[in-house]
Amino acid sequence: MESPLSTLLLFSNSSCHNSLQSTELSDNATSLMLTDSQSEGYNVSDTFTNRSSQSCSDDKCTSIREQASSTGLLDQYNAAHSQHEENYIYKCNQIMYNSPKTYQEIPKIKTFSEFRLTLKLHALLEKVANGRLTPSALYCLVTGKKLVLERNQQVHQKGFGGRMLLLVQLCCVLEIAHELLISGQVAYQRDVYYRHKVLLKSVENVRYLCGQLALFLTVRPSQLGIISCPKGLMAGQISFELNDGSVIDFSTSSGQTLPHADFVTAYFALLESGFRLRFPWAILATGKGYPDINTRRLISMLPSMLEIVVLVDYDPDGAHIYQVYAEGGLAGMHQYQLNARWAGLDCSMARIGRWGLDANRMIEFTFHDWRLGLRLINHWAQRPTLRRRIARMVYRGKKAELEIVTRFREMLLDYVDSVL
Amino acid sequence: MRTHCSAAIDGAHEDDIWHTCWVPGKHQLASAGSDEVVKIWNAQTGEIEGTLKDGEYAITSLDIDAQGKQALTSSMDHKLRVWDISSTTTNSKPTLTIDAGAINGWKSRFLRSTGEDVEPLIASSTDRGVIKLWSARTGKQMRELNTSRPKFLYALATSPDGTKIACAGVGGHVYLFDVESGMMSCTFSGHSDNVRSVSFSADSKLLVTASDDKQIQLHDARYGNPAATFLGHYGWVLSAEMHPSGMYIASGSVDTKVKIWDVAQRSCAETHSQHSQAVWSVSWQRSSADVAVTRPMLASAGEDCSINLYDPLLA
Repeated sequence: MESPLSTLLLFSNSSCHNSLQSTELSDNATSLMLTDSQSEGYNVSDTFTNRSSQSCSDDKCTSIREQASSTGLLDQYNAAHSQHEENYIYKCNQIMYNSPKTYQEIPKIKTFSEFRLTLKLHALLEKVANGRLTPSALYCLVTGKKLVLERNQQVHQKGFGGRMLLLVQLCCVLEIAHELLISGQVAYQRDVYYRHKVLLKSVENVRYLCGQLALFLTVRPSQLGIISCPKGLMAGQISFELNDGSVIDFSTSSGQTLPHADFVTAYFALLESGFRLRFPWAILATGKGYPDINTRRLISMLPSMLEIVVLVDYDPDGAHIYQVYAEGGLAGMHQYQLNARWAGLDCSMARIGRWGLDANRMIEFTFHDWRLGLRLINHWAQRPTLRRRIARMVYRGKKAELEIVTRFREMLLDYVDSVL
Repeated sequence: MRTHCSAAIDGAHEDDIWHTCWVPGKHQLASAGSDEVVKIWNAQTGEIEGTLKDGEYAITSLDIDAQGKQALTSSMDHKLRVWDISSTTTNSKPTLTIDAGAINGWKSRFLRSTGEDVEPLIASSTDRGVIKLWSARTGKQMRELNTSRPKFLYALATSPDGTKIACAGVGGHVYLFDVESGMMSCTFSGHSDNVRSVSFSADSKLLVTASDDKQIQLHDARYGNPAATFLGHYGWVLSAEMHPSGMYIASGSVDTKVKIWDVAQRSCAETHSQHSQAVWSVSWQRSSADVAVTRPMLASAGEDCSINLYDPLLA
């Protein structure tokens, strides 16, 4: 291979993951194509190549590489970035070998798949440390985003600054995951954040990085050894049996947090008003607002004969929560899609009058609501029923929280009855 | 005047109908809503005479120009489309599409040109308290009228003589602009809640506003002095329009009633309960420069997807 800086990986978001499903990460990683924003001839989707894979034809790649080198873009890029990248590689090394190594101890069984994962991470880290895998290439690999160069222009240095930070954060998380896998431990995302609080700006960031890494390596995020705090609640005639044989029963009066594995006020209001007595055949679960992946995964593991009904409040956030349950979210990480029915608070005027909901209690939309509503309309451009439902909500310009139904306990069960 | 419901078109659209607009001088009615098509009906027979459809986004505003030749729709993909409706067509494409950008075209209206050499304009309301004026021929943005308060403007109206633009929205303030100078001529705050609809009288002297605080207010369009307040609806008043003679106001509301108010007596003359759900739009039949309509009919449409037509009886 040529010098490391001549290899730059590019693919579009979704096709990257599809193409990576079937290929292994081998020693001669990555390469490929340099494309500029004004050319249309390159099909960016099949750019991942490997000595053993057949997903991209070699002659196509080499010809494009020749073209790229002939235009002088590569040289420009090399010149502009060699200094920066050396600095950051040095920083990566610093982080990897100097961080403290104590974590919370939770025993974990080692399986062969984990062992393979450890090897993969080790390979990645070695390559970064030796400079054979450039930071920008790693960034592109893991996040699947493109780095696009403009023709006949200097490469924008300022665009790389933010991404370099992301890259260093990524290396940090990578190193921590590696350590956890080797020692067989598990850590909370919160703990990882507090360990390197300045570098990893927030817990959300840690979650995002774990998610991206997991998608890239085609594993579940929990297999990396960094798990999130349990968030969901469930109550009903159901019990889960865990891997080690212990049983968690959910038929207590107030429900239990989901094992590792919208509204908490609405959840408790329903329980208090006798939901269990009236609907003994139903299970009530809440993800406390936007459901995390753990909740969704557990719900997807429930037997498929259970009908899933989602009850959210009447605003674009509620619709988004339904979308997260049913399709996995707007960000493109479509995992654990459920066959859920959107029975959420529906504010056709007849319903409002009937249940004693006062239209005057509805709240004004904020700018966030408008943007989210229009974004959801765009997302559901191909599904007319859902799209029209959101369009009606957006046109009204007012939203109603679920609390207006939970305020009257007697009516609450009747409302839920009508919905179910 | 007493009106009686002469005709009803049930199942006119598949989903909510939010706008109705008569084609001036003809016996035709256009309606649009959340099912993304504009349908043009023959008011006598109740049959469809034309359908306008482009894109898969709900239509947030519908207007027909004074000659009855062009229709203007704005939809939730932030595009304004101008259609040619002078001939009856079932499948037509817009003659002009203006991409207005993120929530820059919630409501849009034709602005009548005051002279022969003056370019015909389209006014569109945004979510930041700004009205953009576009050219109706080329589609370029010409001017901008700023209320300097970043509020979502739900309602927009252009005066029939083409000199004034009124807009109102969240917060209940109504802003009046003078088109030629581009300055705000006056602003008044008669309402305590969002204003859903604003419309001028036929002589451009009075302004009717309908709001979520269940009131309809009448103001002087030149100086903004309040003239009357009409109370009587039980829910948000979604739409109010003045009769061409200036003696009556029709309004539709969330409480499913269509009310006709007597302006001189400041009271409700009639209430119609033909709709089973909220009434989003009421409109009187318009006359064009050539054809005058002596007994304008009233059309109302709403969430029950049906259009009701009311015929005024001679007193």
